[in-house]
Amino acid sequence: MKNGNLLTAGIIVFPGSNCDRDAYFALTINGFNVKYIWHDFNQLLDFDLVFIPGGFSYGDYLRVGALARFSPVMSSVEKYILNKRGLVLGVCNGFQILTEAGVLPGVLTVNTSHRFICKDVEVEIINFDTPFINNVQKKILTLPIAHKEGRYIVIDNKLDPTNIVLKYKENPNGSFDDVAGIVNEGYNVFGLMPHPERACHSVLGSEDGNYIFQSIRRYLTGAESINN
Amino acid sequence: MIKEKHKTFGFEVKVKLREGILDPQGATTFKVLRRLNYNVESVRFGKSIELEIKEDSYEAAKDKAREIAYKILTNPVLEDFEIIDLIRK
Repeated sequence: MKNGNLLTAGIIVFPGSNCDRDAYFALTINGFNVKYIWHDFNQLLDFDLVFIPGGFSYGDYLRVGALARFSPVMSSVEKYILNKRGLVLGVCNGFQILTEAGVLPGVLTVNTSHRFICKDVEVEIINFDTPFINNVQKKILTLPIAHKEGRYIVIDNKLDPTNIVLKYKENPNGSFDDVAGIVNEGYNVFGLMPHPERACHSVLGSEDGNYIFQSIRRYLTGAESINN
Repeated sequence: MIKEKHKTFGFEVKVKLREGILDPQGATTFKVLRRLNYNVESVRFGKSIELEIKEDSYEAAKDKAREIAYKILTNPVLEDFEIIDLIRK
């Protein structure tokens, strides 16, 4: 693949996205050349990584992620995924948009506590085979969560267990099977509720998020993976 | 104290924003539907609340429903409501 220094990442910005700058910071310090992509255009996405950040796209009206899914850029994202052009990472609201778009199975809905939860949680890595995780040397990561609609639900419990990448150690929101993050069948789309971009520097209290960004980096540069 | 002869009556209270009050949720959804080329003329969001009220008569129950809707479920400055009888199962 490409030379390591030239890796590019695009961050999609919807009206209401609010983690786009955190994502920019996290990707930049992990060596990506980063660009923002305004959601209103259907354009060729020529990036190694597409990041769909957290926030409240379209004010979370109707359902979380339901209206953002129809933004023109999402058809570009779907093409990007089908053509396996690169990797897609959806965090929090980004994860919700990906499930609404049907790219990832299931849906995210209101926490059983009906509360907005904002705290650090421990997540356990269940599947080390995906590009997003296969260079992570730890089994448990500490990552922040901040959501009211983070309870993962899947109809008739139909979820291939190999699609589950992260599970909460202590389920904060009532997610099915403690699910915190899942991948698609092609292993090129990863959606998760915890925010790795908010845990990428010692001043933020945790640097565990960088394991994910560095894993993506190693995968994209074709470096030998640690776990496989 | 609830007497034996009381019956239960069901009502649905439909609440929506009054004409002319901006409904950001409706406006946003409207824009997306138009973008998707649906010939939608307007979108308004509302909510539906079901009440079961024990009273002697249908009239008394409906009065209570109206009172609850007016005093508690809505703010008459912003919202209108409509009460629909629910047929008992």
